[in-house]
Amino acid sequence: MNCNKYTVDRFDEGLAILLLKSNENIQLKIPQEQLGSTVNEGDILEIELDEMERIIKFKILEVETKEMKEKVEELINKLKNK
Amino acid sequence: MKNLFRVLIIVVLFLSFFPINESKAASYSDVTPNHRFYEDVMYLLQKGVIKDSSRYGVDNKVTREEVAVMIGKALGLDGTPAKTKFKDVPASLASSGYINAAVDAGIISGHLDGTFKPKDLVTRGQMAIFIARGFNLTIEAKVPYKDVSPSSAAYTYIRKTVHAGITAGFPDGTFKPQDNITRGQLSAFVARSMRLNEPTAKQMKVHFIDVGQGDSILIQSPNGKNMLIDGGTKSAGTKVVSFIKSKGITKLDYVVATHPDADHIGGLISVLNSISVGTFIDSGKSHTTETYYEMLNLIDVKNIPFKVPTAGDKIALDSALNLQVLNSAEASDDTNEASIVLKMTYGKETFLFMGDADTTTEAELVAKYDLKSTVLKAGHHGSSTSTSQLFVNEVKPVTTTLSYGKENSYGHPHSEVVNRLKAAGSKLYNTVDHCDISVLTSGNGHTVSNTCTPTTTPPPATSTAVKIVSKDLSAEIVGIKNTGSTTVDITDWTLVSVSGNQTYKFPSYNLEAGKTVYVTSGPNAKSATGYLKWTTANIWLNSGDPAKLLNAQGAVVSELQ
Repeated sequence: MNCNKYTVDRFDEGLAILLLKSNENIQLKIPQEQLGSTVNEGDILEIELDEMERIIKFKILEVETKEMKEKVEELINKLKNK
Repeated sequence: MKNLFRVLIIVVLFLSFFPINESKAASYSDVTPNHRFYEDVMYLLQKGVIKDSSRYGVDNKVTREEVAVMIGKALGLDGTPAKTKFKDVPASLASSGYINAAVDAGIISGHLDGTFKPKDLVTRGQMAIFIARGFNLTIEAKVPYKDVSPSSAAYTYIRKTVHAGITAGFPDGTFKPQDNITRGQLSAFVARSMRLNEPTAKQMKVHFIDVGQGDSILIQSPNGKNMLIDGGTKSAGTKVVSFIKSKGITKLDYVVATHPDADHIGGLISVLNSISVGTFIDSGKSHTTETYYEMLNLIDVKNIPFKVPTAGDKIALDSALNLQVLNSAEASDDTNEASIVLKMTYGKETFLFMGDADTTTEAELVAKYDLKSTVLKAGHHGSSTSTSQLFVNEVKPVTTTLSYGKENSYGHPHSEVVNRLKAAGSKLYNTVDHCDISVLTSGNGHTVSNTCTPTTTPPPATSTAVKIVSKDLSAEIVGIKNTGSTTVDITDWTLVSVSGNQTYKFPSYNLEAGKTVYVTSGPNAKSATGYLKWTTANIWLNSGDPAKLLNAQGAVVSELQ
């Protein structure tokens, strides 16, 4: 069993491109439909994968996503107003 | 008192020739746009040699002092009024400085009696002498004029102005060297001479760096400024940095992150860590990836000015360029839609950098801007989400570049986009077949160089998805299905009846994902949607006849016994 955090970088041609949160050099490409329709670009997910890198289960880490969004927005505003 | 009065009169006269009224627009009433000296006069105005006024006096005769002033200004000589050696040119004369400078430079000489005669009129022959001396013309050409004698003082000088292409003479084959020169003629002589000394147009280079699946574009402007648009994925960062350094660049004046997707901004981390950046331009569309946060953090730590542009903004990279932001949508839900789109014009060349902007954005831009461009960086790696027919019709690109990775998971580029651009007559370059692509231009036409050339194109990975799925020998119908998930271009593919060795070549045809096309022959052969007509002759042997499908390169894609 393999359980890790990923950020949804983008959806592209029916694929979801997920970046491993601890090392974003590592990306996971899975068919978008495996995530259903509730997941958006930018969501941080906790995903359990099997040996074939297929999703066993996943959940959206809503609090973590919201916190990251706020952290980034804050930095953008700081840079804009420098 | 009397003397002062005389000086005032001279100054007033002088001012009437060189009016200082700058309040009006550049619109001399006597030099309208269709006047034969209009461009020359406007050129001098733009260069600050003459001043704006309501009237130019284009047909007025010109005096020696006026010539000294105009040539002096054209050459950038010091015109500060000064004492001269001429008894008729006092320091109080406004033109005294330029007269002094022109005499010192050996352009005009005074008279033996110690006078300069500043108010004497100048002939066309004398003008040739002043121009040839002032602009250091040395090479002589044969004089085509019948009224210029080899024994005249102006002869060799007129030969020099002919070689330099400054004098055109009159339609009747004369030069009229004894005629007094007019202000319009003088302006033409001086403007043409100044243009000779202008540096030849400088070269600009635009590099589409091969970063695999992603985008990274380096611009080296005509006056040596540098801009990077995107940096590919994180793993491409090292390549991008070494590419930039290989061009001798130590500072990027601008870096643009078109939108925050990892295949566009990842490599910018290495860039920010290794190369000095003047201003960072970001779409302002936020993202929750560590990569985006790390990028912002580096901009913060290094104190790099950070700008979020709005559509219509100009970027002051280089005064030789017109660089405009056509799209930037930080409020967009979708990262691709947020893409900063840039249009860059240098002379007659226009580059359009689309980021990952999609067909919706394209349609908005078509409605708002003139998009006609010589070089297009097609949006979204050649995906059919971008580069619509409507858009291609507007842009009419001479050259199109597509940035994508070999055998990428997305099926980029899509064949309909490639076919659409080809049909529009655009030359196509891509980072898989051509690696790093460099477009060079001096503002009038462009050339493309690339670091690799296509090897024999292997059959696209998707072609195996196209299969012969049915063969009805008596009805003479063969079904060919695209079992894959993306459209396959089967133009110039061939279907072979093995027993009879008869071959059918497909016309221009895109077989969409999941669709079947039927190739028909025999008396019931038909052309209709989904049906292609081979021939009305019977092709297939009813006793059994294997079928083979070959792609455009001649490789067997599918067989059915």
